[in-house]
Amino acid sequence: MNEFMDNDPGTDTEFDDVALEDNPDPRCPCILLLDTSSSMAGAPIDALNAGLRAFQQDIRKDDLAKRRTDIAIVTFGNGGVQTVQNFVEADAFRAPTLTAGGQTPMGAAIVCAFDMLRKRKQQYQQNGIRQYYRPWLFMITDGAPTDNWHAAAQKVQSEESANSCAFFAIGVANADMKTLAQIAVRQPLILQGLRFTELFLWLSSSQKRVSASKVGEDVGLESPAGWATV
Amino acid sequence: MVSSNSSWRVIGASVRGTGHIRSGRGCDDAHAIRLQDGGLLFLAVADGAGSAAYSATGASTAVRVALDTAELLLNGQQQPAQEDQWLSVLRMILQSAHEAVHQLVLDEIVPTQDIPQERLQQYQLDGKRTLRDFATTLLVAIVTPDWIATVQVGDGAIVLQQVDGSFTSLTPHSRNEYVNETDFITRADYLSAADFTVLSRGGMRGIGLLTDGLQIVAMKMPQNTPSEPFFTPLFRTIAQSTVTEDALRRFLESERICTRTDDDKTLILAVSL
Repeated sequence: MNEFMDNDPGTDTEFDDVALEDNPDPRCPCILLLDTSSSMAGAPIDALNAGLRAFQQDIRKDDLAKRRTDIAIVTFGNGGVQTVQNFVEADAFRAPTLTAGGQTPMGAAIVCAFDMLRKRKQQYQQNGIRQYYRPWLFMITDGAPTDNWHAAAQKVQSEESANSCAFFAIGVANADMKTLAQIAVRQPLILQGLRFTELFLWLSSSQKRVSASKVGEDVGLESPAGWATV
Repeated sequence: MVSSNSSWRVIGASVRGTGHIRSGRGCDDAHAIRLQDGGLLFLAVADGAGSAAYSATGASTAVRVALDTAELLLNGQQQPAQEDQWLSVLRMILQSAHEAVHQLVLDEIVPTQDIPQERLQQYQLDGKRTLRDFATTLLVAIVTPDWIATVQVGDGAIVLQQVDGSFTSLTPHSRNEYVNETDFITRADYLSAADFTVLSRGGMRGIGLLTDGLQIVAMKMPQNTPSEPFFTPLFRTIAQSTVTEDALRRFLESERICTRTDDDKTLILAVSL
């Protein structure tokens, strides 16, 4: 089949008999932790849903990212903590339509996300995928946790210091940035207005970068200046 | 250009990945080949970190200085006869590469290629370059009639072919759990991140060095052992024909490889004649 795939047939046949090893692609797990509490109702939740749809469309444009990125969504708010989307390859990811309501059990949602991550790593091992990128947890909230978040914060800090995850916290409108700063090791960012679409295009672009090469630690990401302020 | 003398035929190429082409970046990989009198062969490959602004300069400097140092230490000299002597040669090679890259920072040397404006802004917010901006892996192999001595910092692979056609890898398992973490010679603790191998030459017939862009098609992962269906035809082709470096480059840039990896790719293959 290879001769049909090669763009430049006939000129160099020296290496046609070289077979390529069929390794499974390394994976980049990415969990979205999304606030769906009552204060998100109306324009914010609509903008968040539009952002998720843009994310779905954009990440599938990239051949490597769509095979390598594994996406999961945990919401906190409407219905408590909910796993709206268990890990799925980006290629098969369909953006959900989220609705707002209820409190903000952020701490429990973070704990839930780390538990999903642990199970996903076990699955990787069972399926012979022993190569994966440092997982991303990407949390978006417009409020403050209404549950006990200290254990979750400790977990974030210990995982970050062991380089076992990258935890990003994004505050919308009147989010409690002080508490977010106590949870996240990285500087929390403030979303400009309701620029969720720009945020998710940035996330998609970041996952493309991550899936395309080793980026070593925290450098190499695009500036979030198009949608965030510090 | 294919290098050969009465002892060796060597071929090598570094090509830009499709991801780099798309984002307007150059090739951050580099390699160097030196064929010496007396059947000595010095090889080096380096993979500049995609996240570091001047890593292409770091990589090209590292391979050049590493082999300059090998020439200085080994040419016309009595060659090491013991493992510990080889280890100190390898350490000096690594040290000189590290220091040369460090010197780039001190000299504020101008990078060898154009850097896209967005990357410059990203990394020069404070107006200063750091060693990290030049981050690169480095793999060096020295082959003499009696010895094989290699050192590796970061990912990539060194593969040996024996006269019976079998393959071994001198590359240990990845030290890191996550694939987007690797070791660079620009780290302060680069010596402790290095893996050294000194072997008696024995029945070694061919040697290959590659950067991590090729690992997914050339090595059985995660064990990182050589894929025979990949290397057997390659070494056979190199040994039997006068294949050109352009042909190797076209192979590395072929669509069947680029659909599997969009990173920069480097491959050096040497067979003893």
